[in-house]
Amino acid sequence: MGRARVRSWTFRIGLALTIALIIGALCADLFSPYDPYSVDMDAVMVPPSGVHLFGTDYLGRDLLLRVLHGGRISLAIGVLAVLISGLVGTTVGAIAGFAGGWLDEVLMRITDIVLAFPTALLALAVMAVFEDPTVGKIFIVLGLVGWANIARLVRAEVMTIKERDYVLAARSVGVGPLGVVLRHVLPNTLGTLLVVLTLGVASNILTEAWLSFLGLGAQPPLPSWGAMITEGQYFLTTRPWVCLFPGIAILLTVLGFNMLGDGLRDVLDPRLRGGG
Amino acid sequence: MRAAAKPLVECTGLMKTYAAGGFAAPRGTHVAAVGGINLAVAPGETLALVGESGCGKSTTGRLLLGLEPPSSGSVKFDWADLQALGERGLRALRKRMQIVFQDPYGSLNPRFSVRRTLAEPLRIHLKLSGSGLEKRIRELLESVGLESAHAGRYPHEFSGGQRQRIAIARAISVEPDFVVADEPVSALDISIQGQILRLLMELRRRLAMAMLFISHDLAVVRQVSDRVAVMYRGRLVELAATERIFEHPAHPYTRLLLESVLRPEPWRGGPDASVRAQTGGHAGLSMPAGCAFSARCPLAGSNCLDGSPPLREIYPGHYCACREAAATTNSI
Repeated sequence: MGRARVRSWTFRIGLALTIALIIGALCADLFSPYDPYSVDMDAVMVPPSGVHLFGTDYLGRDLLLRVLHGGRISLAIGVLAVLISGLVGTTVGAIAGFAGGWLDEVLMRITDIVLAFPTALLALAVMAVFEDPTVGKIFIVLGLVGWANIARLVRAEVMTIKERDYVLAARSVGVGPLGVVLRHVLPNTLGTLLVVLTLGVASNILTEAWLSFLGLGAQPPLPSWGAMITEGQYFLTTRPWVCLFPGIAILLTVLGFNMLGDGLRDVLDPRLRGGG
Repeated sequence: MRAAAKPLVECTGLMKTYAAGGFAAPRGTHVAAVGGINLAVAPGETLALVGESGCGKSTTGRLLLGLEPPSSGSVKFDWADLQALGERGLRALRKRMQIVFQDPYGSLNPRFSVRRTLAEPLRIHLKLSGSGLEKRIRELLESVGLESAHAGRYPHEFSGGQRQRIAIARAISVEPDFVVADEPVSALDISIQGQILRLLMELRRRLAMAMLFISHDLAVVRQVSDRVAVMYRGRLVELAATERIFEHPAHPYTRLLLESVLRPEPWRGGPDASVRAQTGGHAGLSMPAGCAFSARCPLAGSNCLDGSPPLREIYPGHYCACREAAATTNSI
């Protein structure tokens, strides 16, 4: 209302890429005559053509359809993992930022340890603890790693916001500590949180891709982009499309979410900085 | 007006120190924002607290409301010790004391509509809800000169002056006995300042509120206050009835402040040479051994370095913390 809309091409392009991915991933089966899991030994690794727009893989499966189905896995993992780590990160960050003192100190040191822990090592450890690798375990890894970053950013934001006059005003009209945090402080971190979560989706998708590439994530025959690149890497010089299309899909998706996040920051910032 | 026998708000030996920031500061260095203040506000009285920025005016206001705990000393509100009340008791007492902040752009939650901002204190203290709440919000908006149709709007849709009206409506919503007005007009346009001041003064009369009016604008202070307290570097240096302090300022710092006010006819009578002090006497964080003002004071003599001078009554109801001035003013 009355607020000048901020034009941001970063935001628009990011939004367009993200929406394109979501539509593509969800509607893949409506337009394709193929099945992402059905093997066709008569059409193994055919190059892109009118019949198979992205070509086929080493088992003759349609690559376009598999890339789009891979989008479902990436999106599901990226978004769900960010929701889990967002919940943990926001809670930890809000407590640390608002309480301060020794509690802040303890929580932030734990956060530092998590941030310093190599993701690959953690992934190997998780895979070792549970027998066979599945998609569900990627959640565990991403959740364990992702919240730390969010906690730090939320803590910093809470620490600035709790010094604002409107928070003091809320206390001076008699709002209790819990009401101050839940009604006055946290809602005003939403802008930052939204940006952080969007960027988190991009980083989760990327992490899922390389975990799957290393065989630590989604397993065949699931059409995960990382796993598809693994399958195609031996034919990189002779049949480049098998790797190329999942690679481009990762690139565009991560680019899309990153641009969306940066764009959101541009769109939301003037309002937040102005305090209203 | 002198402080009545029973003060509404009273502080004794009020002190607030902060740990000095920055990595260069030695560990354990403390800066005294408020360095031991005794002050009493009578019911219905408007006491102005004046001084340059950074002298501890705002901190004093927040300490009086219990929004920050004092490092030492005590604050009594209607004989109840704020420190002894605890978190819950203090929250209940908030019905009786409120604050209006300087910056109306920072004091309203940007995500709260006007209705929600005003509803919060009404729900907490008056247990209002439903149509009773709506009715009270309408009344409040009208009493600060806004339309009741504005209730659904958000802070960014208002001008600075209108925002300050909303902040004032929030402060008076519970009909408090005491309001701290922390430079309530200094962030506003000159053209708006008068309107907001008149509104505050009208509400003060109508609700018979006591007020601590924090300001550095002496012209405004003269209009609105019953008594004036002058602060310098965390201490009270002079306290007297408004007319008394403007007519017979005793402390050299007060005189310096009064001289720095723009006069309508500057060619008539320049500043008295005896009060023309050196400016920029702030020597970092360290306090001088004696009177804090001695570094800038034109009257400073050797006995000014002998401890901080206490507030002494130099005339009925007129207190001054200056050894040199006390000697001269008594002869007036």
